[in-house]
Order: sequence, then structure tokens, then C-alpha cells
Amino acid sequence: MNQQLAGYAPAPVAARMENHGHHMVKVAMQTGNDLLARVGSMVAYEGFVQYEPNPPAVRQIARDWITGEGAPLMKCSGDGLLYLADYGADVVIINLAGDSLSVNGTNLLAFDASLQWGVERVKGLAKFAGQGLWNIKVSGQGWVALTSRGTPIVVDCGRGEDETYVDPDALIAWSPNLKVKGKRSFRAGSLIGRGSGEAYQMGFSGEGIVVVQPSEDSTDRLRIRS
Amino acid sequence: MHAAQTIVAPLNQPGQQPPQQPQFGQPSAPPPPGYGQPSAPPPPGYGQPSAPPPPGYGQPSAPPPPGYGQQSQAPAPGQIPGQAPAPFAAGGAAQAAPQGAGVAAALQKYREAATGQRWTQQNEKLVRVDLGVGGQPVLARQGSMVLYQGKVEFGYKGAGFQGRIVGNATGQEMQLMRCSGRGQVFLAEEGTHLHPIELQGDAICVSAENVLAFDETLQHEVRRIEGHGIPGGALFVMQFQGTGTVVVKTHGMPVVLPVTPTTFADCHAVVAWSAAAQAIVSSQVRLRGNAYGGSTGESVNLQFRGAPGNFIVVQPFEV
Repeated sequence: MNQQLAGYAPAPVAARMENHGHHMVKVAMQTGNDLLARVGSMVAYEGFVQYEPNPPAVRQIARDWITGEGAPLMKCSGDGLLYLADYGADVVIINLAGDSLSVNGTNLLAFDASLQWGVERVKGLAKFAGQGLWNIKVSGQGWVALTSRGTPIVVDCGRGEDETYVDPDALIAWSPNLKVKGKRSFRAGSLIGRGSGEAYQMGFSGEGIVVVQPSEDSTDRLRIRS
Repeated sequence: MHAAQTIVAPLNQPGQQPPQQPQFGQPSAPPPPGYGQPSAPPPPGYGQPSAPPPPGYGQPSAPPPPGYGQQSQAPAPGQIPGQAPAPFAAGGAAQAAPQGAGVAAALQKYREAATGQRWTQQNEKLVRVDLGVGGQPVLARQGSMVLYQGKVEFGYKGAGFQGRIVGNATGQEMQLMRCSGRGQVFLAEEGTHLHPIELQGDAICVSAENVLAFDETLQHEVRRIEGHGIPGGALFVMQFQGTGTVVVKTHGMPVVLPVTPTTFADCHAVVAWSAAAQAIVSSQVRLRGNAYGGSTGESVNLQFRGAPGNFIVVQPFEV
């Protein structure tokens, strides 16, 4: 019985964060190098790992954490192996190494506590209905794990003179140096049931990348009528 | 796998991989340098094993971080740990390759696949259509755009008066939008698997709810499946004909079966079939079983008849 399952044993640790399959991330925890992860994303751990649901230092910033779904963070500390997953979503692991990345709040699974991070509001989208789009900007030396509903695609933005437009529901992450603006392809026809289903897009211009997932979150953020 | 002779025209797969293979991950490329050694020479014993492991899997290049308690059990550097080959590692190329540092290196395997084709499958759940190639507009399910580059207009596409009547009566209606202009549009929906099927004058029958997008040059019409004894009256299907591409979506990886004299499919799970195959409703009438209750739940089946070369597509998901 053990033989069929032996292939799923974890690989030896080679890095701070590693994929185990497509949908799980394995984090090598050590004292003094804490991890911030989404609440409830832990599926297993080995060793001595402790979880603080809402550390005071995080709470001040987490007050602004408006992701629509409410995704507060927990702080994980200790020694051992920590396995994180998010309802079977694909997990993408990035070693930042000095780069920076803006991540949609719902798509952030975990990141090193030593990174600089902050919640920011996407400029130019504030005038849109109700909630704006909030995102987390992380930068520094460390690791980040993102989730994606399905295999993501990475598109270069700086190709040609044309801008890149993204459905906000499918957006995962982008380079922070890109210029973001909102675009509404909204016509009067939408009000009488003749809309194209694409009311708002976010336009990106400049040099950088945009990461998109092949699925649109069903929350009705940024969409008035489909 | 029957896909070789039964698919109408397998589309341009980047890298010539079978459609079930993930399109990313470049299994043939040499693994990038390991974690923590961007410029160092290869670790001792690198490349020793005769059967190379999946890139990065079980290849302890850097020492584990201090403080991790199982360090003593880790095998010597450069050796393959004596475990059975991982089932998922054998099939999936997306094992965590030892990645270089930085965002660009980490996301390298998810890069956009660039070809000059009109329809390009980016990965199994994303399709890109280049409106500049061919210049014809594309009709897509409303809201299925996830990203576009260039100047693309998204407009409402109504079914027309007759189309709405037929759609209402048969259930085979699609909420469409017209994508026109110049640029690339990425289409996906709900993480379903997408399959671009290129038609070259032939025809295919697809259930309307499994159509994601198609070229506007294709003609489509609602067809009725012959049969009797169905509680709802009859079954209907959308038939596409002409020259162009239709993108079919399935929940999960589908099975493509060749049509033989004894090919049956559940009418809820079958997604598409080549139009030259004839679908017949074969309801299983068992007086005793029905009288006693205890039905098997598999009452309405479709039987397919046709010349060799026809195929049906079945998804692992019953609507």
C-alpha cells in the first residue's frame, strides 16, 4: 500500500519555498524567518510551527485589507515544514531577489515577513463603482507564493505601442512600475441587456509583465451589469 | 489515445505536444541553475544520474536552511533519493524547477507562447486569438475575455429574432459578444479546459453551452437529434460548419472516442461529435426495473453511428 503512495512523498528541501505538485507549496520554516500566510491556508506541517492569527503589527495595515472576500493574514513562526494550499488553486512561487511585484489581494497566498509590503489602492480606479481594487505591493529579498485558478499566463506589456487591457477579475499580479488606468467599454446598450459582458478593463502601459489567470473570480467587483 | 486520427485538425500546439500535455515548463530545456547558486559551478555530481530526474525534483543543490530538523536524513548532494518516481512528476512538467532569482525567472515557464497563428493555445485553459491574422471578427461567450492587447472592440452580438425563438425553444442559445479590430485577445472561462478545433469545410456538433468562441465565418444552426421516448421531447445540438475554428470547453480532461458500432455516451456528458456521425437516442427501457423503482440513473443514452474516422468528445462532468 505504501508503494503506490510513496511517490507523493515530499522532496528534500532545497529552497525556502517549493512546489509540491501544482497546487501545494512547501515552506521550510526556521526561527527568525517568519512567514505571513492567508488565514486558513495551512494544510499540514511538520516540526514546531506556531500561528498567530493577527499579530498587532500586521493589524494596523490589515485594517485596510479590503479584498472583497476578506483575506486576513496569519503569522507563522517556528522550525519545520509548512504546507500551504488554497482550495486546489495552482500555486506560483517567486523568489523576489530585490524585484517588486503588485499582487491582487485575493491571489496572495504567503510571503516572507522580512519583505517590505503594503496595501495600496490602484490609482485611476477609485472612481469606479463602490469598491476600488486593492492590491499588495511586495518587494525585497525573499519569497512570495501566489495562487491562480488554473495555469496562469504571463504577458509582456512593453511589446509594441499598444496597451494591454485586463479583465480585473482575472488579474493576478503585475510589475509595479507599469502605469495603470481604468477603461470602461460601457455603452448605453448595456442597460437594455445588450452589453458585451466586458464593462471594465484595466489598462497597463510601460515596461513590465502582467500575470493573468484563466478564470474570473465570480465576485461582482467592478462590474455593474453583465 | 485516439486523438491522432480522430481529431478533425489538431491545432497549432506550440512545441508539438499532445493536447493533454501542459504547454509550459519546457521539459527539454536544461534546468536553470539551482537555488542559491546563480553563478556557481554545477553542484558536485550534477548530471551524474543516467536517467535524469524531472528538473529540480529531488535534486538537493543547496544545503537546507539551518534549523530545519530533518537535515540528517537528506541524501548526499547530487544523489537521487531512493524513492519511487512520483506519479505526478512523471506526467506533469511543472515540477518546481530550481529557479533563478527574480520575478522574471520565476515566471518564465508561464510565458506567453508567441506564434503567428490566428488561434494559439497558450495552456490547456487559455486560448489566444490574433484578430490581425485573417481580419475576421470572432464571436465569443460574453465575459470570457481575460486580457487583450491592441485596439479591440467588444460589441453585443444578438442572436436575431429567429435565433432567439429557436434558442428559447431548444435551449441551444449562446450569449455572445463580437470581438473585432486589431490585436490579440486571450479567452478563458472558469478554468475549463479549452480545445480549439479547426474546421476545413467539415462540420461538428457541439452542445451550445460548451462553446467558448468561434470565427464569425462559421455557420451555426440548431439541429435536432432523432429519437423517441425522451421525457423532454427531443434533444438539440448546435452544428458548426464551414472554414474556421471553434473553441470547445470541457470541465476536466475529456476523452475522445472513435465512433464504432457500439459507441454510447450519456447525453449529459457528451460535449461534441463530428457531424458525419449520426446520433440516435437509445433509451434503455426495462419494464421491470422501472416498475420496481431502483433506476440506474442512466436512462437516456446517445448511440453514435458513422464511418470510421468520426469521433465523439466526452467530458468527466455531467451537467
